[in-house]
Amino acid sequence: MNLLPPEISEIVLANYGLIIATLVAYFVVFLVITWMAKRQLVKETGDYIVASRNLGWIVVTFTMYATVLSGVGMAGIPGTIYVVGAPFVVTALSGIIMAVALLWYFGPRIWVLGKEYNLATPGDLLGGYYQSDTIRIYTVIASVLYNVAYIVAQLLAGGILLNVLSGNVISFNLGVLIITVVVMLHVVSAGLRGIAWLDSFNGVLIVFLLVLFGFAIMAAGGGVSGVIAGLGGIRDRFISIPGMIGIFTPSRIYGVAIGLSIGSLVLSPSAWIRMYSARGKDQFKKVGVLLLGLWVLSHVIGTFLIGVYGRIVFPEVGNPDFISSLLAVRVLPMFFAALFLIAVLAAIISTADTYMHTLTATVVRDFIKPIMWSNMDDSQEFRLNRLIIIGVAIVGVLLALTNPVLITPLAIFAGGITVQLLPALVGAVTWSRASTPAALISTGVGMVLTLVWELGLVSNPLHPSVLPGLATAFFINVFLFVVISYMTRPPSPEQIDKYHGLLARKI
Amino acid sequence: MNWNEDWLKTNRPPASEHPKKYTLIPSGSGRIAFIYFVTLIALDYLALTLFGGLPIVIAGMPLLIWITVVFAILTIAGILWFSSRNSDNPGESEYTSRPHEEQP
Repeated sequence: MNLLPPEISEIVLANYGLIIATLVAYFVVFLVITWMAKRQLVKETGDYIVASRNLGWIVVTFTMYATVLSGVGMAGIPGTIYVVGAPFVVTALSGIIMAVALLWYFGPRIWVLGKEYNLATPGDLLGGYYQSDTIRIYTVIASVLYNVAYIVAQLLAGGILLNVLSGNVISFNLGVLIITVVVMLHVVSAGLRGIAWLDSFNGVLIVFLLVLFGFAIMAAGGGVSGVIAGLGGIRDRFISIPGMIGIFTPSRIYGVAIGLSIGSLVLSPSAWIRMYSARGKDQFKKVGVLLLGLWVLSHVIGTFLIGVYGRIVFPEVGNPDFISSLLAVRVLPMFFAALFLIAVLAAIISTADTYMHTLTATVVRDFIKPIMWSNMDDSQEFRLNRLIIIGVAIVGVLLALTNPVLITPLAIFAGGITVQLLPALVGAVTWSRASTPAALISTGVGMVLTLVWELGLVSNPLHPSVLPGLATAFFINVFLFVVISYMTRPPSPEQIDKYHGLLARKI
Repeated sequence: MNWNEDWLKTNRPPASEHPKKYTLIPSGSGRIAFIYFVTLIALDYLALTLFGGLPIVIAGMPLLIWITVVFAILTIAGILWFSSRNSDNPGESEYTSRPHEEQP
């Protein structure tokens, strides 16, 4: 287990009072938001899962930003930039740019179908359109793999942070338990509205601190030019393709971007649920523009400069995921450094709460309800959501305590699984020639190939610098989807009109 | 256990009878938007391939970052431009069929 480096522990102990006061202040805000959202919660699934489809565009934007940023953006991405160089910030941003364009396109369509047919999960839409419980189960598998991977990483990082922020008063194991219980109670009490409100607060805090961090680095390093020049002999390799480790070619940048950003921002079940929860179909233009602006600010001024300056100040750090925390206590005033560490915790909470909520909702709605308990009514579904989350939390804690892993590789793999749903989604909202057999076969093949290639069970036939396994699997998925669709019969005209016809009339 | 594959029970006419209204590449302003974003991605990829390997710094920032920032700005401009065109032409739906084909 890699706990935070001793430098940070020493500084935390030297400023214990300030850090505890900041931590307590954060949790007071947390409790107030939970309490306010709990007062508005209507005890039915439509309110618990999609906030009665009434979230404003700023809240939708910040909840997507804070959720996707997570510990990955605050710790993992600066750490990977530290190792790879500038090509990794290009990877992260290129994926987000494409994801925002896709969000602008798919968001209104998913929202319209959700509103019309009372959909709340990806399985509702895909399983409903293709009239297949197998496809519904694919979405559950994607949800379980994606959400469990992220929940485990967040609980792990949360446990480490609480351990250090408390000056070792809270052990790592107890820290994981505390984060789990706090997040679980927040989700159960407040539903999606509470999650989104807390994410909005966390998102503002995070973007402010990342930008402040960037300006502090510029001040310490003599401007952006001074910081880049400080790289010395590694400058040229650090700021150009294929980067420090020599494999980040344009094709790899695009391949990793598919999993890291498109998977998380458009096709992950939590992103899908947020598209359902918006107040109207016209909000996605504003959501896309603000979201992209926030990401460019965060990555260009924040995470990129953290990775660069970290390389200069700490050229040989043990675990690169800690570079942002190490650098925060070195360049930021102590109050803001403490706030930054708490913002990392906030990002972790924003991700963990969302993914626990999403995992529970998809398992109940797309597996238990259609397959095992078909006459489940709304109040039973609502209560079951609140019950199942306990099981989700127990699994998350057990995995976090037994399988500590690096954050970013896990995020890329998890996003790669969800991105395999993209061809099926295109068939459901755009290309009516797509057939159910095509969606069944291509999605299944895409998921299996992503698993075996990304987990290294079988080696990817293409070299990683050409295309990562998840991207190869995605292109095979697309190819099969198109070919099989042309070889088989499309859905019935009634089904096509119910979805594509409705979208043509409403959008 | 209640496993439903209702698509097997429904009447799915052969592909020749399939209404070709809802296509992958849209018509009208949707087609222009589609072409715009695909071209933008292709140009970004090309720029990364041609210039991404050059260790050049402009105004302190690496050229690689500038390429991506320009890509982001053009994407935002595209979203705003095509959204405003769409709201100016309420009769024309983006990424879907031609107006006369839209009525069932």
